[in-house]
Amino acid sequence: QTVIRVGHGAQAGHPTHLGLLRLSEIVAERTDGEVQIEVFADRQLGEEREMVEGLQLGTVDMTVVSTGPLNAFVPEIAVLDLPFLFRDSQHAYGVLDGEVGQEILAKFEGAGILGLGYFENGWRHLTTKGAVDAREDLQGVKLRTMQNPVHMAAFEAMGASPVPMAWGEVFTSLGQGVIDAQENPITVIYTNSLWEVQSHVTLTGHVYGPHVILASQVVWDGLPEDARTAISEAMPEVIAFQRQESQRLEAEQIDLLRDKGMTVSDVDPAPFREAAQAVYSQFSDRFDPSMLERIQAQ
Amino acid sequence: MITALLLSFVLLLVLGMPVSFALAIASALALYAGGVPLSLIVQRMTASIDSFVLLAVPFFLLAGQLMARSGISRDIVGLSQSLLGHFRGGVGHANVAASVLMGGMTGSAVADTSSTGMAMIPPMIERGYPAPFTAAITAASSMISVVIPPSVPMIIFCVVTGVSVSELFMAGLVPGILMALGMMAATALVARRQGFPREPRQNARAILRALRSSLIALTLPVVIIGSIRFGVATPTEASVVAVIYAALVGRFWYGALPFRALRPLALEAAATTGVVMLMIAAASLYGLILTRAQVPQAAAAAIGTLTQDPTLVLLLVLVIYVVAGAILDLGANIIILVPVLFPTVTTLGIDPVQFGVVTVMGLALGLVTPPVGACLFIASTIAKVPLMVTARAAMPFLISTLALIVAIILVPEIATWLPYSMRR
Amino acid sequence: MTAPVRAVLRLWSCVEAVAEAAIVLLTVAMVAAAAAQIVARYAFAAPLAWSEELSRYLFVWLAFLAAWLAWRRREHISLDMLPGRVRPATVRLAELLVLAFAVVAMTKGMRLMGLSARQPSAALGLPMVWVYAGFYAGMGMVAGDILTGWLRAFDRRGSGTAPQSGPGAAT
Ligand code: NA
Ligand code: NA
Repeated sequence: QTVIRVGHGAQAGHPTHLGLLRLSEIVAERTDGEVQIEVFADRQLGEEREMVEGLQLGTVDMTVVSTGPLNAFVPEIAVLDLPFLFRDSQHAYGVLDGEVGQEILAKFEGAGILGLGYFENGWRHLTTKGAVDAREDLQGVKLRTMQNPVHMAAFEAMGASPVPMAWGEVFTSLGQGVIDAQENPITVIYTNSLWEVQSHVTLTGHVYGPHVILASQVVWDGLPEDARTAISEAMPEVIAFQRQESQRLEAEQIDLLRDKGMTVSDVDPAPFREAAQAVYSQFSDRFDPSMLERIQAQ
Repeated sequence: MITALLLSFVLLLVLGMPVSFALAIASALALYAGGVPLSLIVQRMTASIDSFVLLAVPFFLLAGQLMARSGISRDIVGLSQSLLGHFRGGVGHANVAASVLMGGMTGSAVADTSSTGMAMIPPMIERGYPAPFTAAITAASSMISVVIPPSVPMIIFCVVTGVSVSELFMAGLVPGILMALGMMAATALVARRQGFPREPRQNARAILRALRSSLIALTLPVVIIGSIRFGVATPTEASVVAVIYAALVGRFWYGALPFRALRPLALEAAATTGVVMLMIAAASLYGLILTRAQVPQAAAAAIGTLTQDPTLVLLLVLVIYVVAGAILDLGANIIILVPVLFPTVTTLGIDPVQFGVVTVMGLALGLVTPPVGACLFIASTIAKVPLMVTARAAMPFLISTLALIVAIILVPEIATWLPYSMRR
Repeated sequence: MTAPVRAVLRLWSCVEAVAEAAIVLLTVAMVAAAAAQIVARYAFAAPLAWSEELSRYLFVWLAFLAAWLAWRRREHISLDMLPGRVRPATVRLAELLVLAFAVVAMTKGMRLMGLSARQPSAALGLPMVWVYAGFYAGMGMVAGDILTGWLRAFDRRGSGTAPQSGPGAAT
């Protein structure tokens, strides 16, 4: 019997966890229980950066992580972090499952990592204490972002003061007023009870966050043939399922956030997009311009 | 692999190996037996302490050193004595009160035992208190300082679980004060039975003088909590505020802390930091191996088959804590046990903040129980009393604390009311 | 004490002095970085992008060097905090195991060091190998402490002076 351990950083209710459980079911079924996939949520196998390193070392078999920490391993993936890159979900799916997405996955080979595909972490939206009806409302707002230079520059261009802060301190800091706002996918906003410290969700959808499915090349090469086939063949089905769950949960949790007393509102994204365009030229050395063109043309 | 892990750990401990190295070496053996690449050791041990929240540990320890050296701690002890000394067993009450006040400034029970122990045990023995009692009350009351914020073990709990540090801090306030009242009640009982001396009542002027000299010291907890409450600093950053404020007060108000004092104080705080951090690093490597083998899931399932009743589960957990606290250090226990228990406990609908308070209080009992009770050891050394004799004298205080923990299990609001009423 | 032994021990005390100075400097730098972070954000509303990461990495170094300091001062908590003497042979065995652990962890960790040399950190762009090097600094110092301790004891026995209880497990 073969045991494959998959770690991820999201909580057990996250669509990524559900997707991996589905993968485990399908693979067990198709190999008559010979291949067991064990899923570890909540950073149980380590932080995201650490798990990717673990793939290289062969101490982690598989992982699903967001693109942020992957910049250090495959710089080309930075293009996916650009704000307002994708028009909508269909555009994102098309690019990621198409030529560009697969090209980026292929780059992982050089790092001893096998790229298997893209789950969805979700569209990132803004939560704040006051209403954000226009870009001007972001002026001087202390906004927690990930430790990602492109995101920080984009929010600075939109007028906010970006604060890179450890996630463990965000909830408290929002509550006590150390920071005023943060940005994350709906699932993260909901599962972390941010309604207790934030009153508004503005559906900016400023960044689309993929969750990249990766395997350790060393471990993969050591797997029996039927295990590799079963996983590869199950992938498209599992990815479709995960994205569907992601969209279902996002819609469901937006309603739940309203029930909890949050004001959820749409906003015209055009002014935000315009301001954020500045980073496209500012960080042009970070990504392949032809790749960007192909994404935009798709 | 797991057998190798557990057996070698126990063997190494018996050999007299420091707990942190025993954890690390046992993990290395288990990894080797399981055919896992050993580069995981450097990676996990480093990554586990690469956390901004943990920075509060060296900072709060350094702030504690600055306070002890500058005379802030001495003034706090003096104030407690002038207020409570005239009751029967009054110096015992003062000892508890000093730990409450010091607890508001430092986050480590070991630091509290050392500073209040050195200041109070010798004079207590001089005044005719039995030495075992002086050691016992000093060690036991030190448990209060990890329950009243700030608290190093609470920070570790939050790092492991993702619970909000400031909410857990707030949740410790009421239980910490109740803990002190319980110990004072126990002191009164022991004092009457053993006929402890009374001190003459201090006149108002003496009390005022003591109050005035410690007034500036008493602003420190206000500054720490205030900087968090008013959005100046995160709970981690508040520890830096504590360092800077203690250094300024010590230098300019007390006229202590010459520049050359910096080096020994920094090294003193660093040595304790090294103990805590190596323990965290090693325990997290050990914990990762347990997780990979799905031991936590099995343990959770075992608890689940025993009972699904939240209260019973927490009582069961308390029993585990009392046993584990006797064997392992407080910080190591949090890192090894909490990841196992937390998912089970929260699935049953138990409040994470309540669980945090029960965890820190339950495991803190281990600080005062033999054979590895750090506070018990320090206090016994200062009072020159055998460890087991002090342990026996500490029984009344352990019982009063245990009763309080059971009360918090039955009535979570004792802990959760304050933080939840402050939300939004 | 023979001349080469004396030279080695003198060199070692220099290394120890440097490590202690590094601990003090790291502490001061961490306080400064964290304080700058608060002031920049609160007073100037201009949050710093690098301070959080910098203080974390300084802290990793501090933690491992401090682990050595605690080892040298016999402050790591062990079960035999019970009063009573530990037999020197047991102490030597414990030291041997710790030394073996340090050497194995560092040797096997070289693969990680190689991989992480090409991995820049998010804010400072610092290769992660510099962060992991903190482990090497701390454990290397522990190994050095054990070896020089043995050297001292061995030399003393050779010259006929009474052995002193060795470093290691006891608090
Ligand atoms: Na405290
Ligand atoms: Na005390």
